[in-house]
Amino acid sequence: MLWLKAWYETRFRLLLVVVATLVISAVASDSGPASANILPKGLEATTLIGASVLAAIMLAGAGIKTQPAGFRPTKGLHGSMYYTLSLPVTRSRLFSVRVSLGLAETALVHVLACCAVWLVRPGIRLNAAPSDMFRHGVAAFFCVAAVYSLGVFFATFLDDLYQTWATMFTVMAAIVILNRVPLPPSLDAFLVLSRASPLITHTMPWFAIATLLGLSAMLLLISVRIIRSREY
Amino acid sequence: MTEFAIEAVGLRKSFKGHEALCGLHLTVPQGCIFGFLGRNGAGKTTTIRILMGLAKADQGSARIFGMAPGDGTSGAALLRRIGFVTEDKELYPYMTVAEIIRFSRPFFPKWRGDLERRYLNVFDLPPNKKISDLSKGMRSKLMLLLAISHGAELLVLDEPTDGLDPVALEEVLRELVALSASDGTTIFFSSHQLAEVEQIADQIAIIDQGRAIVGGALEDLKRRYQRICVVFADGVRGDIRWADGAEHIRREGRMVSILAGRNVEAIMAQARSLPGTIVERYPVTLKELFLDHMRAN
Repeated sequence: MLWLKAWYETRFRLLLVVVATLVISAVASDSGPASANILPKGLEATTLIGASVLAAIMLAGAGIKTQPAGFRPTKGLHGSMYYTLSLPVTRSRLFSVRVSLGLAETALVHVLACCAVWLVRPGIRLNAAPSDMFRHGVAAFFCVAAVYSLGVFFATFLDDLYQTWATMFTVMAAIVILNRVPLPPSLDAFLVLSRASPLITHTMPWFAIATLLGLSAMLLLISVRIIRSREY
Repeated sequence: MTEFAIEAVGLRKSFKGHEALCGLHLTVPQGCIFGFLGRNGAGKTTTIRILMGLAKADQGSARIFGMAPGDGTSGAALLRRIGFVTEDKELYPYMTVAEIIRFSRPFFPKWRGDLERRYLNVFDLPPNKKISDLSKGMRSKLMLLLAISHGAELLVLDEPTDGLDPVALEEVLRELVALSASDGTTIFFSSHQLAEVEQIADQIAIIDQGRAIVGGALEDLKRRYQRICVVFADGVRGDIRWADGAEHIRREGRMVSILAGRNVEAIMAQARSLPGTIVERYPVTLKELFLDHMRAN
């Protein structure tokens, strides 16, 4: 039943993000031959993968807090958390159900975004095989999952609005810092979305994936520890 | 097996330098209806939060059925035995009454379908109405239904009658008494409504500034405490040193009102021995007991 509650609380956000992804796809649609030249710069794929990152930020779990389930403002969300906490379920379980569902929804949006990239950008189809696109999708998902985990981490101690802003600022700061600090492409997690993408390199960026996986695991473990020890 | 549903020993809790609880002791026998009284900010909700495992005491210990509340599998097992009505009566606003019942049912293996149907009917709760559209009183009733229907052995109710109209209030109080009598459910409830506590509680504790200042069986307290009124024909002269047991003394013109916790006969004899006095004694109500202790504290 916790899954049902998490679904009620995220379904409208998911709908919103899916619509946003489709709109971005339609706007970004380009069949001109010029687009083929953009691919080597590594920016083409990021246009729509950005939708996945946006989804990760929007769908990041609220830990064990209750979230709005519709578009209208609702009273009593914060207080209903006490009802959740009075259910005979450990906080870790409450957390894992919410995080798992949010991550699954983020994955769904990511798959949509990847398909959209493949469909609306002939430049990519000219330069890469479907297997490269699949690899790119998998590698980019680890990056998206790290952003999602960051959002979850901030949700353990910040309210919804501040959580979103904190996640966005941290992601932007990380991109700026990584642009200035010369890391090998195999370690630079954000390059998975651009220069180190399998669409360009035709290989899996395993080191970057391992870094992202470690980062996500660390953020989620810290979040669960905060939630278990926090007072409400 | 412990004879107490709740045992709190020396609970201390501070928030940003303010001591919300200063060594609170509390014992709630199993099967009783326990009224937990105090002013706003006296520490009632903090105590309840500690008992429910939502907060941790800085010092002291709390036990429910002999087990420590908190997170983890043992904490979750304990929550299966407790029904909780929160102070603000907030539930998931996007669910309907029927949906939240369906949502809650699987968490509790001892869920009582008969009680669920009974209280849907008694409390007149519309199954298809959204929780966001319910009044606070209706949400109170819904929370009570959820707390009662899962077959809880202990109900922890934080201001359960808040927002109820007088008719609904009577209904709820009657049902709580019936539940305690029929199923032996322990009911621990905090309230500002002294009349309702007096109506249903077997045991009470009055807390102020984070400490229990009066506690015990309500009937014993009422027997123990007496109001002695001494009227001086020529006015009160000087300070009188009353015998032991005179807990709170108030002078109002020619009258001295004494709340005596013991030695009632000795205090009365002392009053009669004073020149020109008329001495009467009265039983005290819970309201008087509460107000006198609050004034004195």
